[in-house]
Amino acid sequence: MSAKIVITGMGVISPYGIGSTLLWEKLMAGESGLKPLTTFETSHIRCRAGGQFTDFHPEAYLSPRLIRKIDRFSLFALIAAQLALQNAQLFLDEKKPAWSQSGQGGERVGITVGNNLGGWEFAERELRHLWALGPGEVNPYMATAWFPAAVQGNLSIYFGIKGIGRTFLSDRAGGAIAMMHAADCLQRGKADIMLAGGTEAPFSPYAALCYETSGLMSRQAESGSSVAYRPFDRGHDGLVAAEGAAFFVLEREESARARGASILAEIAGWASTNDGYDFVNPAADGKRYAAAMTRAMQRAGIDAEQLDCVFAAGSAVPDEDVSETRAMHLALGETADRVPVTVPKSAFGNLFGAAFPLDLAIALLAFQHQVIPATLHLDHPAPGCDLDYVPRTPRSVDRLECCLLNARGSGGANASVVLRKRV
Amino acid sequence: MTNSSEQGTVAEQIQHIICQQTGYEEALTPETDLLNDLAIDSLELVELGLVIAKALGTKLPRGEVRQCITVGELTELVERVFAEAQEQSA
Repeated sequence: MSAKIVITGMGVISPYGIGSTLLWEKLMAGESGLKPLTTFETSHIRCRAGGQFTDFHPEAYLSPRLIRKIDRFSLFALIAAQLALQNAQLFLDEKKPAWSQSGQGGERVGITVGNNLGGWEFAERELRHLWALGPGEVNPYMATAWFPAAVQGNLSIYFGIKGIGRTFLSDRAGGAIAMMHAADCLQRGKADIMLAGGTEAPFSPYAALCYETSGLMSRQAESGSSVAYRPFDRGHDGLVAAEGAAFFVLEREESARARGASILAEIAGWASTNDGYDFVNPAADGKRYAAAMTRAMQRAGIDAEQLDCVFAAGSAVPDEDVSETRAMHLALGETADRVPVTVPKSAFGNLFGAAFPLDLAIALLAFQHQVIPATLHLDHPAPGCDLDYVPRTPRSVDRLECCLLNARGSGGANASVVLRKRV
Repeated sequence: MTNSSEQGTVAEQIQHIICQQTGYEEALTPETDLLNDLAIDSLELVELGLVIAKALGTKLPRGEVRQCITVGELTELVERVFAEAQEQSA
């Protein structure tokens, strides 16, 4: 029998700020985290709203010497990871991880990271220096700051992690694939502790343009609207981006219990599929997406009746919303009509490579509070979107112990995870 | 470039810049090891060379900066480059 994989710590940075408590309070208050983008010139793009964390002060956590060497997306990751380790009781008072005092050091600890864009704030600044001032003015840390795997390297160095390290780029599914791979590594005995999550910092002129040219971003966000991200709503017209990170500590249940760790939940099943259809658009029939959900439930040993909630990918791209609804009908059968479906990230935006990790954090908080957070800005379901969505206001429930979390990237990179409460 | 000015000698200026860049406040000696004592890795050494060059108004050969192991070696390199620049301008 395969080992059960559990989450023993989480750390979150959302557009609302640092910490999971703040995130939950804002979601329960129904406060939109979407604002007009103000930190860079946006005349070249139409999606001018986003979930931007404008009051970010990394110096409260990290040294100025380190901050100047790395990009914003690494800063998010380092802080979220530290919070996760603290939450898991694996970060000592001397600001060192617990494994720094063991014989093997960090050799049995691994990292997986989901990311989409890399560190373009740093890169764009240094490219401007290159073209305006010459190569002598380019920060030498350009070599290590900008690329998506930089986060993995920074986490490894900062926390002395010396085991498996992998970074996953799969658009909005990258964070899900990173979490799944971490669970796989533990189940196969390749590590004893995995630090897994995702991070994204998309608010710079070039990075935002990359999103814009995908054709998937909301056009109603041109006015800087705080209600532009509308998954499954009749007024949906695309994605609204956000920044932040979420990281988790994963362990085998046996070793987590042996060290007396608090168990937040079990990652009970997971699966990924691809549509093999198009560069940008996912397959309309939703069959391969449904297959990921079905396999994840099979791996968890559950059927659809046991699901208390589904956290949908909810891109708000009209065709994708219809396709995701169709896929859920295929995977859940008649149960699809009665399982609550929510997209809480509609309140603050889609974090792309960190979208799934943020959903996972919210699901863990939902387990704690026995409340399904709402899908903000979902007022009137769009044609073809006929599930039991949780619109506008949170829904208290008698039982919230098992949920399905979905992620879907461009072209139909599908991932599904079953999260189950452990007693 | 100023060899000895209101800002102090080249050695003093370099030590001041190193402390600013790294956050170390202890007095440095010529024997202070850049990597082992100050945790200045290869990239930070290149960055340090650029900052020193800009502050002192000179250019430092990046390859030679990378080979410096101690504060003293870095100081000697800067002083040599400075002397060569003075000879050429004389």
